[in-house]
Amino acid sequence: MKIKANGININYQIDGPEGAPWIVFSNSLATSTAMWDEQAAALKNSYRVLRYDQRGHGGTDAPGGRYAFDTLLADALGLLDALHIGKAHFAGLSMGGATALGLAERHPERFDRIIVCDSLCQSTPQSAQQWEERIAIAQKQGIEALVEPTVSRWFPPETVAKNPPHLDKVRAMFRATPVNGFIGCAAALADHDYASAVTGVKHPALFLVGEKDAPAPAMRKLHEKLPGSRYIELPGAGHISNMDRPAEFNRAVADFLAGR
Amino acid sequence: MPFIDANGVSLHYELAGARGPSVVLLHELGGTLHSWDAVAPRLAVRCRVLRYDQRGAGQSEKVRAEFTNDMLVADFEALATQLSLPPPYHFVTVAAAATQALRFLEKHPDQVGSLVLCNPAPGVDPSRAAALDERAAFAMREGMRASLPTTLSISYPEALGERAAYEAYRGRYLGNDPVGFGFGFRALARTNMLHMLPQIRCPTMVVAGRHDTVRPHAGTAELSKKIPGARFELIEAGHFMPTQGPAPLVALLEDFLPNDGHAREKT
Repeated sequence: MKIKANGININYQIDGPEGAPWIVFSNSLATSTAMWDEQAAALKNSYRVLRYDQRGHGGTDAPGGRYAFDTLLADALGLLDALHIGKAHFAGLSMGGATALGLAERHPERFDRIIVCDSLCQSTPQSAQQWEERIAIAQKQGIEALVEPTVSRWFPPETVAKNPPHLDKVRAMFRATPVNGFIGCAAALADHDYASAVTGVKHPALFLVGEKDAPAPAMRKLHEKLPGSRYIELPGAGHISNMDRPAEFNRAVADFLAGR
Repeated sequence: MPFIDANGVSLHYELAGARGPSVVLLHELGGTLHSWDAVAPRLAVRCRVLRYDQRGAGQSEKVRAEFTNDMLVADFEALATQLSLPPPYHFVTVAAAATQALRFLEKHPDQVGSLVLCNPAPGVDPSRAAALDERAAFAMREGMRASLPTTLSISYPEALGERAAYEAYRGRYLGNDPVGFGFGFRALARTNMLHMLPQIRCPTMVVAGRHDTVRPHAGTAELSKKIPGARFELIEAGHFMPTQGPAPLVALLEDFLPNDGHAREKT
């Protein structure tokens, strides 16, 4: 379904009973709501599960130009407003994880528990340069040229070697991502910082990361800076940890949301 | 091809060509001096051409001590000194070997005549180190064959270039010492020479392979813009261009490398 929010049409999907607590899932770069299939299935009996496609992804509009990361926050907030959701738990992975942390910092009153997955939550001079290179690749060669280099970066070598079905699902989502959306969001990823203000977060927070994902050490530091937060590494998982280890991911999320 | 003890390890090398500028060919991770088989003899007609197996690779010594990019640069320094190969050096590098040429340039700016960076991988973001370490650990633990799906299958599609060249390359690749190969990845994971790109003052040519699936050419073109006055070329080759596209690479090198000891002015 689509709804107008923050000036664009945002594609979303809701599972679970009316009246149950809301949990929102926000996707990573070059994926879509489909990345959360396993989580929606596991949580929809106890929660009202809202998934949406970030700006430029899936069925959401993909305007041209470079997006500011704060625009991605405004999209999520606009979606909650449009759907008349007062307060929600919010979970996101990578770009979605930075979205989750940014929302908790900027709009604390709208959120309850925050789940940040596989995200540094900030750019560095080096990562900014790498995003600019990837933007040039998307502009000149198209999305296809980025698919395999990205898959080999996101997944541990063992996983790539075995090539389980969820890798093809990720490839399909990647190929379906509009160039505009990739470039817009890559520009946002090249210039953002929600990590520096992490100490101001008052919500219960879970930092969840694949053991073999590059941001793991930095996410442990975020957790150490935020007293009362929880940090969990999922054994054997890479960057898209919820798809690499869905059962363990779902257990960590369900325990955290239930206050266990 | 001869061996020499330099910087504490045995290095397998070839120095060809009777006279002319000193050209140094640095092979890619997973490669050997044979990666240059279709290139070196052509250059040796008018240049002195040094190629060698990196520490831990080819027939050079299979070390069991971790090494760094600085140690690889020191290997070259010792080798060039012992072979009395005079500067200025004209480096031709493939992929991660760009880090060695850039480090040498940083240490000895007056000893570099020119740079040719083929599909350069000049540095790794510190946040990526753990992932590269993971790949290194996987190769060390499971061996080269198990690493193929995440390495050679991506970097060297079978359809690219001459079939015989592919089969020879694959054979040499499987013949790598997985530990030395892993050390190479670990060294790369701890190296970032990106800051050197805007500081390069010597003639530089960046060559991208149109079929490079590891470092797509548009990203390489973007990177080349960081180097003042760099010449950018796109050729029909993949990631390992001396093997996958030697003819267009040799043509570019013959045009770019100096005839008289000085690199030709940039176009």
